[in-house]
Amino acid sequence: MFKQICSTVAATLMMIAAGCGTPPPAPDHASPAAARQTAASKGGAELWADNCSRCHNIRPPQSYSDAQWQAVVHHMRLRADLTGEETRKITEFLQASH
Amino acid sequence: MRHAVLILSIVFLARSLAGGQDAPATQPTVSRQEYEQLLRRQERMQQEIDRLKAERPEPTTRPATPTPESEAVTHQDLDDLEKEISRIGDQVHSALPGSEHLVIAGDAAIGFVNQQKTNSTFFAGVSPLFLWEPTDRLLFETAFDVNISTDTDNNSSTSFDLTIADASFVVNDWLIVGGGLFVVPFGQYHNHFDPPWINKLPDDPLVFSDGGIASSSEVGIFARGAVGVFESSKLTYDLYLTNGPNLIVKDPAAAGSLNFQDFTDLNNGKAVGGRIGFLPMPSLEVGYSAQFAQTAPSGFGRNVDAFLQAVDANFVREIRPIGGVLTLRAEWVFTDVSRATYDPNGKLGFGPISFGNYRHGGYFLAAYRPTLSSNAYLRNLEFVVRYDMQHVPLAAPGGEHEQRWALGVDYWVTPSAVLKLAYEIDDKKLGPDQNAFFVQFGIGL
Repeated sequence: MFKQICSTVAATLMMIAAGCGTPPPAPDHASPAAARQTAASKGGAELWADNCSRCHNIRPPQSYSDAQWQAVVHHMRLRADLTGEETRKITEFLQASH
Repeated sequence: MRHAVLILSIVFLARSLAGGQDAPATQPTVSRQEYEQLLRRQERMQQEIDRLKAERPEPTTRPATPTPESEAVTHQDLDDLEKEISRIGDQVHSALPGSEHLVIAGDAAIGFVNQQKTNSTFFAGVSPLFLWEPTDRLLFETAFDVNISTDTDNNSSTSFDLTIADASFVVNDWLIVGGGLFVVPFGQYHNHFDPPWINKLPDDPLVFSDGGIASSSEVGIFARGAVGVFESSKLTYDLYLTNGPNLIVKDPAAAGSLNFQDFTDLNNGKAVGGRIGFLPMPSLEVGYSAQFAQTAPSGFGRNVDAFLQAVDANFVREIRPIGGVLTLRAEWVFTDVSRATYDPNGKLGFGPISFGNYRHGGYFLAAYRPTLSSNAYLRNLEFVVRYDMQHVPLAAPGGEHEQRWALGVDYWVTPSAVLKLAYEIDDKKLGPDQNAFFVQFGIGL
């Protein structure tokens, strides 16, 4: 068991180290100021790009109607562990862009 | 005439809104936010109509043929207004109970595989997903996989596997509770990456494939949520209680392994598990998952515990110096089934055999897409490499040490449609190597 826990912790640290060792971010995507932004200060468009593109290509706002987007983003709140605030802002952005 | 149509439309819209207000307060058909949004739009339209009326002279003083300038402006404004009214009408209609927020989505894939030691074949599957959101806080999800196959005895079949059938309720901004058949948050793969329009290769990593060592969908209850921490970071959590996996005890080729599709529990022991995720920045997520379960079926004679763990990391970012998007993903799974004796009296023909089944495996994937290229075709290409492996004790039934390297090229036809080519190099300790060539078209619907 001890060996197993040690290997788990080691693998976690290696993954975190791998993430920290990646090249510096592109200025337009992750400037220091942008990186310090909290969800409260980010707009729906930025939250949409941040959260959706982490797993898949971003689907255009025209993909669904306003009502459908509400259900789809609700579904993605479960899958992607969005906060309530992030969910509302992303939904409003998609509906306004539709 | 156009004014008459407009006024009638406004009256109809006002009646629709008034009808919504008459609905019982405990069962609103339109949320407060939607209602206020519609009111704002109505006010804007009223102002627009008033402005148009002011701009147009009265019929008695209007010239018989308006000047070309005034007619062009008026028609444009009226067209815009009609579109706005049509849109609001659609919105009001879609808010009616029963038709609101019902979405049929999902994915589908067709492909071809040529693998050593087996016959080459085309394959196809479709996975519809139904989402129904009767209120802002409640969501029902249903999904199933439909696949076709023919076995070596020439028997053709169509499989229909329910993968999701759950209900969830939003308690507050940081908590959702629910239950049913849901995708267990064990690692990230099944929750995030396995649909064919998201998976960058045509097949699953060994640990997350059929016969793998990781949980997929289970029946039970869950609580999950996310909170912002520090300045720009986020912490996510998932907790669940399910039937859990079931220990296979009678199959001589799989004894000691776990059946994760334990839809009706075969013992009184339940599985408890969860996942903690941390996003230090939006482009990086790391997580740790664990599940503990009593797995022996009733009548086996003793408890057999399973302790499952997984670590995962996912990094995706467009990096200007390399001219595109870099994706790095890694997940590792450890499954420890405590020591047990199978077929203790030899009646099944393969025992007695005693062993603890400690299995592990995982994958590392890297992908690069030159999204900043000036060439439109090159921008749609993505180059993928993946290493995956799985170790099952060689002394255990079904024991094998297998590792694979997969190289792939994807072409993104649309953001949710991709054509994939891949070649996989297989290396097994005991069985024959099964290199494979894949072509697959995956689409998100």
